[in-house]
Amino acid sequence: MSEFLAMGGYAAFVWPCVGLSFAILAGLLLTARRRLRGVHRRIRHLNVAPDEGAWELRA
Amino acid sequence: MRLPNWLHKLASPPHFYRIAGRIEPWMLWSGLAAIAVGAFGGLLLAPPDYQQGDAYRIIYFHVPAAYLAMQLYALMAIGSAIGLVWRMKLAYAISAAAAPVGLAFTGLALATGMLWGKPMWGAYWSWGDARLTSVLVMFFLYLGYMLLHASLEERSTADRAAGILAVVGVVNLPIIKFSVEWWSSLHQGPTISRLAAPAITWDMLWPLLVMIVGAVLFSLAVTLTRARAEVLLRERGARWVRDVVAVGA
Amino acid sequence: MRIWLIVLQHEFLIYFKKWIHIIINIAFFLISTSLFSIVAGLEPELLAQWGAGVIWVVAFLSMLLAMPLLFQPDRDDGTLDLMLLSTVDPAWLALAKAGANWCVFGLPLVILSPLLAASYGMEGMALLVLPATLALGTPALILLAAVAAALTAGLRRGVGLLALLVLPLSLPVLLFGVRGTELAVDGLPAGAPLMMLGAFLLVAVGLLPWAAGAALRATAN
Repeated sequence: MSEFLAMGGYAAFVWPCVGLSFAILAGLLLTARRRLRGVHRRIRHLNVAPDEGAWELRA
Repeated sequence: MRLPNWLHKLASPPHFYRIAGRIEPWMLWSGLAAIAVGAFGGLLLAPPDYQQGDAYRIIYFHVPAAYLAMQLYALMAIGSAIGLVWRMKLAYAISAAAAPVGLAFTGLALATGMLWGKPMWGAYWSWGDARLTSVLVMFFLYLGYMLLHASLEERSTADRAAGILAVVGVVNLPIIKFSVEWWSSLHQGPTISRLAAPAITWDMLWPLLVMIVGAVLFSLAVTLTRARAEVLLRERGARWVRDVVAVGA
Repeated sequence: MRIWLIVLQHEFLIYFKKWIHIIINIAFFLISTSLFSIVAGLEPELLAQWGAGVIWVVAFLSMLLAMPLLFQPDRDDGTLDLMLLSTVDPAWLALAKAGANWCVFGLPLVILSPLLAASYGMEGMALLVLPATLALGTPALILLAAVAAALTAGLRRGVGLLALLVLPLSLPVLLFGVRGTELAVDGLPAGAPLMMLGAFLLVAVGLLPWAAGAALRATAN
């Protein structure tokens, strides 16, 4: 086990890499989810006229 | 030139919102599973490299990140180009959604590249390396896209302006890469050459492939989630958005 | 074509009324380059080596300082909207404005650069190659900056963002400009980088006004 953690002497480079990668994955996932929820909340509290700016199909 | 009909149907925001919401969990979980398998295989099962020892295992994180940095830039630029030509809001939404994800992966590629460079080249950074420099430029292009988008108040203006920047950037990137290569080929001083890529064996290769597939699925899932939020923002007055929002996330 | 000339003339008139900006631009260039050589205090040979990079980067920065003048005043007083409503192709408009801007803010730097090069200890061919690289490179940079200026024209204090958008994209021109000068300092032929700069300029003139025009349209009210 300690041999695995030592990474042949490169532990100081390999493990930060692994940690950073998973931290960024987690951060991306959380911020994306939070953004979607935040947009939901924002629109719910926003009183806008119905169908203003409705989607148009354009060729 | 017109877009095919099926694309129009897919590009209708309510349709996209629904479909994206349905496939996003599948992509996310299969992506995370692939990343877990790839990380396990790369860190534990793959044999150490005869030249680089265990340091080469950084490849399992660096290469997928660098690959995604490029692919997401391409997605962002293509989305912007489609948006500019056909004035399709959904394409802009996808561009705007891809930018922060691409920025994060570009940053990760740079950081892991530096952590790999230190034990292999003896330096965290080499300005003569065309790949490093062009990835750094890409990082700034992502940043510029996002800052420009954020500073223009009207969303449609921001979409178009940032879209033009993305397209100009994608034309410029190969020129930048070529320039740095040319420059470093003439540059005196310590030239650091990459270690010759050893013929990679299958037990080293499969975790990398699994990792790339997982990272692609994961980043698409995150981009879809963000794109759903962007679509809602761009359509916030429409009735379907009010219905979706009333139900809750 | 006639409208193009009229726009060009109009630009020159405005710039000469704002002659103070021209002086500021030149002063910034001179002060920054001399400041660097004083602070760095390098050996004469090293100074000549560094000179190309310093002069190039500072020249670019001092042109960037003037870039908000390209579209901002016209956007603020509505002239730009009128121009966009007219039949003039916005690409030609951007080209004319960028051309006038270069004549006023780029050309003086090209003319002054041999003086600075000499003060940096360059001699011989380098005194000719440096202005030549600047003469070929700076118009391309101005066109690139014109795209960014059009994108940020509506923004208050957009000059920081403008610089951030332009700087990464300007890397090829800066690299070839500096490298060409360095070759000349070392007494080597600098034809290849000069030709590359010429090629960049042609591509820039062909494509970037079009992008700047699209950007003007995109950010118009």
